[in-house]
Amino acid sequence: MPGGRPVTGVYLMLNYSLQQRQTIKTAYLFLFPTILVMLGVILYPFLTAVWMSFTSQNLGSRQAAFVGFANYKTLIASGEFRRAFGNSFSYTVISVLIKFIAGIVTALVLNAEFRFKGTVRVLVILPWAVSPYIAALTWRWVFSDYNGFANILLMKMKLIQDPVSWLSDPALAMFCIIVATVWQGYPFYTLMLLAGLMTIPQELYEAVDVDGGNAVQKFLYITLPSLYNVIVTTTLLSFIWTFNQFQYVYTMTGGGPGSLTHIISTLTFKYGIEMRNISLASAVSMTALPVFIVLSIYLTGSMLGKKAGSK
Amino acid sequence: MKRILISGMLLLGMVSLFANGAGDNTPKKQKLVFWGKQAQDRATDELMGVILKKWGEENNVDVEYTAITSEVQKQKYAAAFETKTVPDIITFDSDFCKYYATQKVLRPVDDLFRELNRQNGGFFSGVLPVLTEDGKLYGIPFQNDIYFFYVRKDLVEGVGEKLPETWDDVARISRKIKAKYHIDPFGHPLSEINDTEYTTRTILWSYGAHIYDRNGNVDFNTPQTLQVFRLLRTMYEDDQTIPKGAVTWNDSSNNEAYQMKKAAFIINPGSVFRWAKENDKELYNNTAVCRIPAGPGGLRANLTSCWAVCIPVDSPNAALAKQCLEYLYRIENYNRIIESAGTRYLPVFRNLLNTPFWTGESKLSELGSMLEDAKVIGYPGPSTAAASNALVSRVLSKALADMVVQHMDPENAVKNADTAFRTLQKK
Repeated sequence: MPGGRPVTGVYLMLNYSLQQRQTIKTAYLFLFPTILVMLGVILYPFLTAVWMSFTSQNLGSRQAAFVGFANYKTLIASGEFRRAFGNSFSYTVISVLIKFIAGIVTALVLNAEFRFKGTVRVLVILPWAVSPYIAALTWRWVFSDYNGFANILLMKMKLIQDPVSWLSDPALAMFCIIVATVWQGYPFYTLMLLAGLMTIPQELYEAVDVDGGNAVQKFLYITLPSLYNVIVTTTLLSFIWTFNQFQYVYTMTGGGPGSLTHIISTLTFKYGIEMRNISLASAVSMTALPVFIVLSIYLTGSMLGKKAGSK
Repeated sequence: MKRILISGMLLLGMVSLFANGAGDNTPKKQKLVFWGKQAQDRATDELMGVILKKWGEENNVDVEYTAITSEVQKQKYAAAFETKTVPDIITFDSDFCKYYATQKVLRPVDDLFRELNRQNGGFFSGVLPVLTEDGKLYGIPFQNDIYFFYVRKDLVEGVGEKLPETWDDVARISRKIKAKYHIDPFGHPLSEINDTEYTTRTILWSYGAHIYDRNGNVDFNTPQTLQVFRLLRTMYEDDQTIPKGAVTWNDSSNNEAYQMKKAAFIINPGSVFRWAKENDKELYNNTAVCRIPAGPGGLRANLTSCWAVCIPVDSPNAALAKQCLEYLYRIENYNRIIESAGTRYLPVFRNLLNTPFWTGESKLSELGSMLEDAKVIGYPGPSTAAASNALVSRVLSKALADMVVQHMDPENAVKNADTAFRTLQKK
């Protein structure tokens, strides 16, 4: 659509010829099955979940009583929920930040010329290719009290004398989860930033050389500004995916110790599947909705704005 | 051209529609979907499939048998009941049976039970209350679970002690084993999992503590309960004889701790026994399988639960499902499955414990009396939906976690749990 503007019926009538209107209608006809599927797979479950959050319903039950905001009041009063909500933000912000730093560093390294660059690129991407559940199980073993790789390595290096209970200390447990999350997530940043780096004209760096600038100036004044759109898009996507993460917390700590590492997704699972209170679980998941609405609006605006600009 | 193409396609479609049914006089095969629980060994799962397939062939039924793993059973059952795409027969843990019975999505199976109860000395009756709701039975026990106290007798003897009889013995011997062998001997989980809920209840009952009284009213905040909480806190924090990692264990962690020889005592059903017998002869020979230790008053207690086969209300093949279960429970079929699973499955029929398979297992000589004496959740009161709900809500394990992870006083941890139990009971 020209200029990215919405194509309403009135707009069509006023601004397009008969043939153009026919073309647009055919396009929507082809899109219709996809829209139908999206309504069924996304909108219907979403509206059901919203409704459920205002009822009192157990898993498998055929009865659901309307209870208004009772579930939300329960959550606000619940220390476990408040902690999980806060954990979701701190876990996400810290993970995304470290992923970005690791991603940009590896992208810069991989953008340089060196021997076996192709092999190194493959090795860097490998964590991203591993199934998240397998990765989580493996990291659980790494940080295990009994014969965990981390303890064995540190004790062999004489950095510790006794095994550390990585996953039973709340602060250390979250640290371990973040390590696992970053390990698997940073290759996405690397790929996206590397692709972005390859589009930066070399002449810009040469101009800095001529002006007597150093590597840091090149990075700050050429590289980062040129990568701005890529960084924003990648960070937003990564934020959404990380906020929604489930398998690392669930597999490595189960939300423990003492429910101190629960995040929104694992708490939803706990309430809905383990405690069979799907109404409360729906309410938990709804609390993340404002976050995703804001992020989605910003992301869509960022991507569409870029697309319009490129025309 | 376009019209010829469309007409040709329509004709083809009509021909294939009628061709399907034409000239086919054989009776259509019925289909029966059976969800079992994974036996933790492939041979037993396959044997179940073979037995059911044979019944299917004899009765012109296409039996689809699937063994569901414990890790995904909650999610799978939840999705099935929510979407009403349930199988014809479903195998549950007993607390699931109680829960789904209260949601009125299971069929009563009293008639089938009465018939099966006439054989092999009848069922062990201890688990039946947890499968009963409103006076009707909603599940047939398939295999029983009971908790053994596994003891590394070599380590106990190594510190100059005899097998522990009481929990004070366990605490004392644990300190000695830790000092000499540098392991955390008592592999008791403290995370919010099934194992914590079940095993802590056995300890509570042996101290004369309980969540509900004889009338089913909450009675948790008692001196006896505090004794248990203080014992566990002392063992975890002061003596450090419970592993630090126990606060994030899953339901297989205490098995792993014992199998890796990092624990001297665990409370567990028969899976560890079977594993040791098949995989580690040294561990098997050094293991004593004891009753749960006694509390200060000399009281011993045990908890029993079971896997139960149930028929959902939404199953269109209820009559067929009952016929299938009658065949499965024939003694020649049922016993094959039990013996194939080794001691992971405990039989539900009394007389089966008199077979050479069980009488030849000297370490399990007290199994029969243990199964008869064991109690179900809700003890000493009735096994109510509230008791089942209290278990899945993890109130007890949360209280333990609050005490050891968040350093709450035992008094406050017990008080909060008591309040939580009362709130659940009101619902």
